[in-house]
Amino acid sequence: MFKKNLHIIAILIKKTMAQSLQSYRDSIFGGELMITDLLFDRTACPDLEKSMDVYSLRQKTLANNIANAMTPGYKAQKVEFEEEYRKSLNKNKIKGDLTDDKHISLGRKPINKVYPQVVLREDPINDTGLNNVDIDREMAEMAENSLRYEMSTKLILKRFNNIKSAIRGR
Amino acid sequence: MRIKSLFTTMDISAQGLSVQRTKMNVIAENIANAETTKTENGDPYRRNIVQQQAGSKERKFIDYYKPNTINMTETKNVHMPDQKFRYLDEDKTIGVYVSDIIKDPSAFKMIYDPSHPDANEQGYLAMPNVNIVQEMVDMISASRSYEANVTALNSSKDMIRNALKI
Repeated sequence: MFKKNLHIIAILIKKTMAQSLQSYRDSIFGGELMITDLLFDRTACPDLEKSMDVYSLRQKTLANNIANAMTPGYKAQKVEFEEEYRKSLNKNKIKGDLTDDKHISLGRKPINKVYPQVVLREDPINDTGLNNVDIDREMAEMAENSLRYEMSTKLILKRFNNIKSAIRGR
Repeated sequence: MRIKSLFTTMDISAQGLSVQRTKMNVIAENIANAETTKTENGDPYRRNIVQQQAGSKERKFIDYYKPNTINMTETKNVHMPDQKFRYLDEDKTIGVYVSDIIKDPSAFKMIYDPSHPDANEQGYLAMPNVNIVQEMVDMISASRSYEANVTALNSSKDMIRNALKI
């Protein structure tokens, strides 16, 4: 008799534990949880991918500025992204909840809706009198940009290597 | 991000290299002809000037910035066709090319040399309007621009290589 009761109690404990685990999952991940979420989607991977997109676009505009350094009347370009991204990370601002595809986002944007924008530099015409490309600045920015790109690729590579070693178990 | 996107970066640098090389060729021609007093049309040699322009000859700049374009769908036949609505203004050009090679219209230098066969009745000889110092300065400038483009190209190459290591 006592043994049977113990069995029932064990089942109850299991059930409540499972429920609490589920509610814990819900509270953190908002419902369903897939293994890909844990491995990729809810990690830094999407942000790193976005950063790589931004850096390659920036590389393109910098290469364009350098190629046009001697073109008369050319207007230098730049990529704006970091400011918008910082705004989207600011948790103090209110964010409108989107429950439908047709909703317009309110307050701070969701991170996956922040895109890099190519805008014109508003620098005055430089000493050459041809255009407003500052070649030293472009070269310095290009060096920095390519290092940043390397950083992003290294971080993603590290993440994948960690997953790999977890799969292998050593 | 399409991989093509990074390769267009190398395209742009390659266009810059090509323009600077054209400039070097034209400068070499100017220097070589600095003393040419007679050309096919009878005049002395006129200096050539390379005109470079931002943009692309073959491809429109819009091809490079696809993320900023909106594709419109037609749901009724009264709708206007998709015109690739663009956010970008025409200022944001991509690429560089040699638009034209023009002749310098400035006057020839006249020097007094009555013994020369091309001299006129007063004994003056028209020399080409090539200024060697100017050409040398242009050459150094073109050469430095070429180097800057090579650096940009190498930088892009390193980035692609890094991406392929993932």
